[in-house]
Amino acid sequence: MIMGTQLEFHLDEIKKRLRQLHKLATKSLGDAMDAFKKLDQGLAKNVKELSTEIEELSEKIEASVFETIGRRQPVARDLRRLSVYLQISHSLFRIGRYSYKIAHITNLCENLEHFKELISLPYLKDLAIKTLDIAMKGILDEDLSQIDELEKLESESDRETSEMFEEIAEYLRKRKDIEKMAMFYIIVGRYCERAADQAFLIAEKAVYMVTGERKKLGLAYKGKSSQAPH
Amino acid sequence: MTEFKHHIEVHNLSTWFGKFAVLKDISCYFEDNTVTAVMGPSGCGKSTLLRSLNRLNDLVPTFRREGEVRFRGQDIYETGYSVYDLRKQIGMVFQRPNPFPMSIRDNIEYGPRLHGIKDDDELEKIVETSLKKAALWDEVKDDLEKPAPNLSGGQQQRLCIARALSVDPPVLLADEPVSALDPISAAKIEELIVELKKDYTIIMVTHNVQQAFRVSDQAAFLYLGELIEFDKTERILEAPADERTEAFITGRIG
Amino acid sequence: MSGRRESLIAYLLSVTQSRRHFMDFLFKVFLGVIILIVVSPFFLILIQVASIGFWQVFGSGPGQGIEFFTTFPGVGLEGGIRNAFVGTVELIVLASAVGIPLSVFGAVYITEYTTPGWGRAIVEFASDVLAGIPSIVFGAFGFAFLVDFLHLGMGIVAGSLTLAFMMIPTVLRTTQEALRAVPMSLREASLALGATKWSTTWNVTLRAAFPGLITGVLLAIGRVMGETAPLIFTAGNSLSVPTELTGSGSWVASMPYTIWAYISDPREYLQAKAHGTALALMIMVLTVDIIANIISRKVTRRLV
Repeated sequence: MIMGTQLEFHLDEIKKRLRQLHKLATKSLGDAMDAFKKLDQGLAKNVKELSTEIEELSEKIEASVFETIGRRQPVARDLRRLSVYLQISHSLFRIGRYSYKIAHITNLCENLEHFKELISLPYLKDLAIKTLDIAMKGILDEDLSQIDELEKLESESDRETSEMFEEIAEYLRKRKDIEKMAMFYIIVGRYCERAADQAFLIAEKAVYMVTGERKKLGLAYKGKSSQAPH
Repeated sequence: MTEFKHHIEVHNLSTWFGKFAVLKDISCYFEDNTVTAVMGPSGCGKSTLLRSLNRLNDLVPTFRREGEVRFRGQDIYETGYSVYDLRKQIGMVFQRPNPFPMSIRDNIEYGPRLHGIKDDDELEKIVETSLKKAALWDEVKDDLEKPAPNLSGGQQQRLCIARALSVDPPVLLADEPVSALDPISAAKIEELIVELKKDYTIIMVTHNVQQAFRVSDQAAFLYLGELIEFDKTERILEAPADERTEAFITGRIG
Repeated sequence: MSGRRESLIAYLLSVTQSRRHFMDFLFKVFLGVIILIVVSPFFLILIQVASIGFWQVFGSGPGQGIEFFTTFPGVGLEGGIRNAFVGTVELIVLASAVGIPLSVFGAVYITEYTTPGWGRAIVEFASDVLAGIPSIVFGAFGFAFLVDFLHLGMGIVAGSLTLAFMMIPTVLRTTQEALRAVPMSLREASLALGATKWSTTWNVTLRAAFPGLITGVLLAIGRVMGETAPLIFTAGNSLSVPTELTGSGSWVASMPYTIWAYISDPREYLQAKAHGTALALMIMVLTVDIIANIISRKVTRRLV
């Protein structure tokens, strides 16, 4: 049927763009963390530019979704797909914004130095990216097989954040000259957590898109709430 | 007076035309003051279901039926049930507009006269009310004596709606009421149907999925004579329970 | 003028420019000639009849014009044809009064109340056959059954009943067709409002079929108006109008019969009267047919 294939064509176009957006978001988060780790101002500048690219692509996807809905009048699964694609596009855009913020902080650290080796923060970034990968797999390949792992990643992330919080508090008790950097660490950690949170949302949307059910995943699903300080 | 929850309920209805089975064990009920869309691919039995509700299928000699259709709690197929009373309370609008070859006024007065109303003032009121309800009054109020077949297609269909409403039936059946009309007239009548549900229970057969979504509160999906799904339209629109329903509404079958 | 000549020459040139064009032109001419041949009898008859009988109907002499229709034939059959004129009218009215209700209600029953099947097929077949039976056979039947067997004797009753029998098959079929042409949805709409079958048939179906019905009736009347054979043995003849329903006072003249009688008569002046009667009869039949035509053209507009 002609209607079906035209709609599928539009959906494929949008998916392709989402894949690209996922790649860019992942890259920007990774590069931002790298930039902060090495206090590389050049890399930070690239991340800021990448963020603009992410915003533009996200807007293109939004326009495509509106056009497809208007023209094709999708229902049921197709309608869910499109509304989810729209929300995902925004979530990925937000992750791009967090990367931008981390790059911005890198700029603010121009004359500062790290007071310890950065382990927790890159690890948090990795967890966020892993969460995002699993979530996007659900979105783009409609493969929900790894959704259960998200709970593990969430507790990992929680644990790591709590530990880092304590560690920095300890440092602040001992030293006097590191307040700015210490606060930056907390803030960057916060952005990683936000990115992971967005990824989690994406995963929940993936479940809705494929099954039609609105389910809460992870700790919230189990009724527990995160124990981390933020 | 029998107790009833809904004006129309269907219990295990199966129908045949001769040896050919059309409807297979259908059970459902229609919420009052809503629009229910009955949809499905051609030949799935939607019109047959509709016509079973006002016993119009009785006109076909080979029609056979098992199961019940209850109107206000009473089985309309039981012996002794007055089919004329039934049809006074269940109105019908057809796919092709079919005004009688009389004046506009005579068309509307036909039903009430049949049922004994003779007083001219009363008839006058009925004509005006019915035409107003069908959003046709302003266009024809000065031309009530003109022959009805001279109206345009969309006007004719609104006239048929007014005619059906002239006897004030609580239930209105519509068999693809706009599929023979141009898009603008069709849109007007769709809006009209949504307005009318405040006062009437409307059951509409359509093969146009988008129309079903535009207009209905509940939707029934019929496929090969079986009732596959019957639920609130918003549910079916978002996430139908049966994959056949999904295949149909997304345009992959039928 | 030269403009017309130019276009004529241009036309002739275009027609002869190739074999194909010429063949096309030839065929058009051929069809035109055929049409003339087909249509000419009407005009030939009209001219023939009018040439002799015109003054009888439209003239102003004694026994001519209006007097032609209002005077009875007198001595030597001089005078008018009031007997035949009134006779024809009375026969038609009576025949219609009997034939039309029977045919219409018969057709209604067959179309609306029976299912397609044996019974219906037999009735339709019988009707079709009867519609084609020569009128003299009806005359013979009328004589044997009405005049003789039922002892009605010759006269207006036997005559009009025979005519009625002739009308019935035709009117039944045309009424049936008119009823069949009414779309089913009209009946359904009526039934859906709670009407009974009878109410639907009377108020909606017959009303919708009315133009077609009337056309069929008028055409049957037009045909039967001019029938001689059925009346020869059943209506008798008379120089005045019938005064009784039975017996010798019921004998009635008719225009076709009069034409036949006068033409066969050696007296010259009766030839003119015969042609006058023929002209009058043609005009009457034509009028009926034209009315039927006008009504039937209104049909196609109204039913949509």
